[in-house]
Amino acid sequence: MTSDDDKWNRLTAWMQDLSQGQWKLEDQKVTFREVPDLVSVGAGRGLFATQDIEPGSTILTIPAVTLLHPRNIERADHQAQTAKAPSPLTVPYRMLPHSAINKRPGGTAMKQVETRITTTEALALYLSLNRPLATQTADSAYRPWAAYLDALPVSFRPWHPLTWLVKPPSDDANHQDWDKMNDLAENYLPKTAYDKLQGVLERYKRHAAMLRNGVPMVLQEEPEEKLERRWSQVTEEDLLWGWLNVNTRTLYLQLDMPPIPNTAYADRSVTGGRTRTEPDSEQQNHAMAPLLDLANHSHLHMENGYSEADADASRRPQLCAVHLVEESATTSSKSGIKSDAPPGWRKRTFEVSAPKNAGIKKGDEIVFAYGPHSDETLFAEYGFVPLEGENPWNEVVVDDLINAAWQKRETRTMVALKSEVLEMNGYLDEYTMHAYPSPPHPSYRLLTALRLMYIQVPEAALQKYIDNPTNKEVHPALQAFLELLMGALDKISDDNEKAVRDCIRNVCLEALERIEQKLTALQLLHQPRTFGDVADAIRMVERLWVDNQSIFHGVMQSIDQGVIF
Amino acid sequence: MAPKVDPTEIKIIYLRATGGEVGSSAALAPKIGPLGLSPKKVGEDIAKATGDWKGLRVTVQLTIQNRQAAVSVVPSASSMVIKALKEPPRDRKKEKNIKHSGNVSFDEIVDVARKMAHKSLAKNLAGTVKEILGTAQSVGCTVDGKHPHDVIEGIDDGSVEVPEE
Repeated sequence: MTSDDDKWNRLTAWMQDLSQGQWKLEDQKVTFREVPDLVSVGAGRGLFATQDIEPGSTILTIPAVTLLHPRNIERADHQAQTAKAPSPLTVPYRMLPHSAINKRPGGTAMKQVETRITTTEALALYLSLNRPLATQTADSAYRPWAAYLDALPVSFRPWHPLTWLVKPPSDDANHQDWDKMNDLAENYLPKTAYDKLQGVLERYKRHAAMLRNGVPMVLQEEPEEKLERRWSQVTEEDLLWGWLNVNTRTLYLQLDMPPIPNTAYADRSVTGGRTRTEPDSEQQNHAMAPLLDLANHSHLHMENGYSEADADASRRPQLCAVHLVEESATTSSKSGIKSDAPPGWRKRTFEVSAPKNAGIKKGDEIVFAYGPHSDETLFAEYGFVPLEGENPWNEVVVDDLINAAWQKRETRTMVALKSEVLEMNGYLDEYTMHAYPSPPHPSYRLLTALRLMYIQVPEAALQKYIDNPTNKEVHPALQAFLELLMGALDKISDDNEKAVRDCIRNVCLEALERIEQKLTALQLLHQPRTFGDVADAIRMVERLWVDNQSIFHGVMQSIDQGVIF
Repeated sequence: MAPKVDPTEIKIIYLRATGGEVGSSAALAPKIGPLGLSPKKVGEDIAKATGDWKGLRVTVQLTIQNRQAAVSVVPSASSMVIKALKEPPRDRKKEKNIKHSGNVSFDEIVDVARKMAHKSLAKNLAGTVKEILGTAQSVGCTVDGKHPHDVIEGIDDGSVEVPEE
């Protein structure tokens, strides 16, 4: 029995126990094993069907009580107290996103300061405190999610690209190769992918700073020896591990979290510069789901799944559906803990079912779509790139190329004025090109921006429109553009359309040239070694470029074939 | 941040369209243009998806995910009753104030009721059938040659039977 089998057995036994026998492994139609390297290299482990499954029928349910989210963490803490178990290493109550402590009258001076953190931060904190490797040496504590925590990835180094930007400590096994990974990220990624990765890094840093500042602040007010001791041992690596687990594994779950007001965290030096700019639904309403987070991502029309049922791999894996469901009352409502939370969240959980129009064969991999994400988003957030360029949601963002072309063509004032017009109508930036739905095409935003770029309007006319958009006297060329925005026209003029298409073609050509150069450079990087972590990372980056290349190729072909967009 | 299966990433837009026709994109353009979708393409997709409802006004649902729109027709009681009338397709631009003075069989009304049952608040199918008869009345047609309200009264006094499901 491998250690993975052992972890799986302990995890499922724990789920069965916690649900008081309501949930049984026999009722679930999945097992867990390595994804064979036949079709997909480095996919790791995945869920597979243990029997033939009828279309639309349920494959897997997750007991609500096993989900890891702040409300369940609080419930488990209460249970530990009632059972007089050793107190768990946990998120201090006043830091929980749903904590009502700050609202209580007669609180301490601290009630003036917002101490609540978001669900994302609370989960990251909980995981870092309870990271399996570290706690084995620490004093024994009650760890309600121990079986689940042990089944989490041991490390995100070196495969997750965020770790390519965060230097490991010198005694880390990955320290030697880190320079190469970092060089790969800094110098070989497509710029848009790099920007996305930087965005992830910034988010991580902000959340980590929030915890680094917030935890000591709360501990100072309410000292707790055990937590203090453990917190002093939590390293940057533990925080990164905790945070990446949250970022790569949670699923959306409506937890009815109260909003943290905009006025909170007034003192930025205390809170790591946090302001409430992140939408609540993303930061507050999600949970980690044991078992379900072992399932891999796929999207429709993908061919890279593996099926035992047919060795020739002609059958495509079926995309399963993840539903939010309400659990029947019996399993989750027995905790006996009074809570001011609305009862809804206690019952909310996940269920996976087979697609309505197709069954699943024994041995098929169980996959679902994480979301409508482009390859670069999947890469930066989850750390993988789908094979074969079949991602129907893939796109390339060409803001830089378009803006450069624009600045070459027109004066700075003109660009600024036209940008303003685009902004007013909601069309500025986010210019993309797509391969699906076929034929490959530039997005409507891009076409609209370029159509404006290629009309001849005097500066004064643009300024007049910007000053008073409701004014009916508009320059005829600008009028044509505005009618296009309203859907009254399909194009401004044949000349304008031709200029737009030429511009897109040139942008594609320029991009393809750059991609060729990068791919050659990446091949040179490949030379010294063809196996191992660095080589895998290089392959992943190569795939990003190749997928972009196929979109640019496709769009250029569409233009050459005279496809009307 | 990217929680998996996040429903907030999906945008849903409802609009009324005439089945099977590529309408003016004036209604669509300001709504979906800034989302990166071509009003012309989506207009064609809507015409394709509503082909079964030629010439009838139907509610269309656009499900937009990452610059791609899926079109589906939202069945509505009035659209289905009018469809059941099997009127010849009309040119809506030439004919105004269309009257639906045809006749529908009671069985067809029950069929419509079955399709709408998931939306209805009625306890049983008979209740839903009465709701659909109300729609038929407002549409202006007759049911088995009778005024729809007479059929409702028939259901109430038991002279008209409605199947259990």
